[in-house]
Amino acid sequence: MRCLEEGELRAWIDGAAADQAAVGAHVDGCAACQAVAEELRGNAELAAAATGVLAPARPLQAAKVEAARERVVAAARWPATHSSPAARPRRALASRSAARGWLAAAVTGVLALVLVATPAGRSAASGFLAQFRSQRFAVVTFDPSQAGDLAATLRQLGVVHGDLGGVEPAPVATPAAASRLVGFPVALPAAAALPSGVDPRPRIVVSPARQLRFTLDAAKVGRYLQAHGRSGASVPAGLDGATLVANVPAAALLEYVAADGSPRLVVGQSRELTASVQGTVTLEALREFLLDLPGLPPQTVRQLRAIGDWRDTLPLPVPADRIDWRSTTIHGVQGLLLGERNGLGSAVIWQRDGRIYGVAGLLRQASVRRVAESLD
Amino acid sequence: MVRVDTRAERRADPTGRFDELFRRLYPRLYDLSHRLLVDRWEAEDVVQEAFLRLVGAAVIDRPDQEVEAWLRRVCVNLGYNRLRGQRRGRERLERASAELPPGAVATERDDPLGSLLRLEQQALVHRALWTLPERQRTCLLLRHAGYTYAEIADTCELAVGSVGVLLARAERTFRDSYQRQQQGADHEVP
Repeated sequence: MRCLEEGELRAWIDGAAADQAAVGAHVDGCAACQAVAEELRGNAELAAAATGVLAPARPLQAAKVEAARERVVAAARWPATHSSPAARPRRALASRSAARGWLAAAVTGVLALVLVATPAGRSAASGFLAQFRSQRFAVVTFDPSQAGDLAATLRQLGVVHGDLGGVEPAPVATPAAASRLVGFPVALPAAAALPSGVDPRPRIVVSPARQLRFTLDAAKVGRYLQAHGRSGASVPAGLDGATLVANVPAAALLEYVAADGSPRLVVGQSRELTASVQGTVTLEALREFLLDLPGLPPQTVRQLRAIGDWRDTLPLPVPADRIDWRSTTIHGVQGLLLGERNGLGSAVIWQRDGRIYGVAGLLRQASVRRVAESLD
Repeated sequence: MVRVDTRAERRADPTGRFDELFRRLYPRLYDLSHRLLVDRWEAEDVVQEAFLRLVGAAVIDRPDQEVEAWLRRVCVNLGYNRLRGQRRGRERLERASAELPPGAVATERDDPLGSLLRLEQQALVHRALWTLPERQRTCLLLRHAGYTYAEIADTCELAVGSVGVLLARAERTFRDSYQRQQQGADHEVP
């Protein structure tokens, strides 16, 4: 018998050869095929072990499957002969990831997450370099194609503790329960202000407060500077081991869904976001040092430097090619009204009395503003 | 219990059939899509969109094996489309090849270091996978998500006999690329 094709050997390893016994008999008596089979087995084992890390971290619960099924059934247009929700016109299955991206991005505690967790947050993070207390927003535009990745950049400069990614919010039963968790009375929109077709009973979730710590490592910074062509640059004394601590507050989110279960509107609220630096380095020196690092988009750095009262202004990264914004007055304070250029989503955010509020939805700006003004 | 699988019965109870398919197949399709997109929300979107397309599609009246292959194919195609076609597609692919896996988020709240390591590991695996031709990559992902040779052949529209060849090539390229990535990572972070 001639030596076997490696495809046959590969299938044999998985018990899937057309004739397992014949392949096995050949391999037993053929050193060359044994060697190939060994290599293929090793490659397969490596691929299995390595790709295992791509699987979901947690198994899917039956309740999640059922919720997903209900969403799809509600969104589907069934053939006319069906007894089930046949008459209902098909609606777009609102993308949960898009909804997450847009609805969450503009909302309170989640907003804070976005600032540190999105690519643009890299630049925004430099605004935290102070005894920082968020009291207002300033838009910092960025070019998505130029934006790097915060987590990767931070790891090149030091050590990150804390979850840069989103934290799974926990559902709570009532506004009162949410109020206890966030530490202030959660405001509700007036039912009359809600867009039509929206279930007036929100799903309420609370994302827990958490702390993110980033410790600069002079050796890593040195390597970073060298990699960016500044091998002569020195790392200021006191910088090594300086730790930026960002306190992301607990946030309550009221999620309103349309009859088909698709998300339409999110109202979010949290306490202010604070940050501080631990170490011997002065806060301003640290901010200055980070803004001066090579490899940051110059336009973003210019905008960040232009923020005069940076100790209480939260930079809000906005992809300028996709989102328009303007200043507005909400509840007597200055806020920001944002709208997607494709007209799909709008949001308004403001800070008042030490709290951050945000309303976002797949709605017109006027509808979002009406909901925001009705919050009480 | 014998599953309802005759054509007449399938037609008699279409929503029952849809529900049964959804409950049975959703978890594994989610797992597969997650391996491709490394993002729980993107993966959920893709699988739900695939099932949405199944409603009213002629294939729903076909035998289970064909429906399953069709759903897998739609999930894989939608997944690649998301990675390629969207506005952020380029950025995602670049991240897949240079930084983090697409849409990766840390998931273990109680173990930030562990989740960071997991992210880095996912990034490394994705970078290695992206050096493979698409069909080989799909084959490899399907196989290590636990699909049989017959299922892989149905999904990729191949002869069963070709699966072993593609897998052998895919895994060899993956090994070389993965080891290079590992050495690169070790070099970068001493």
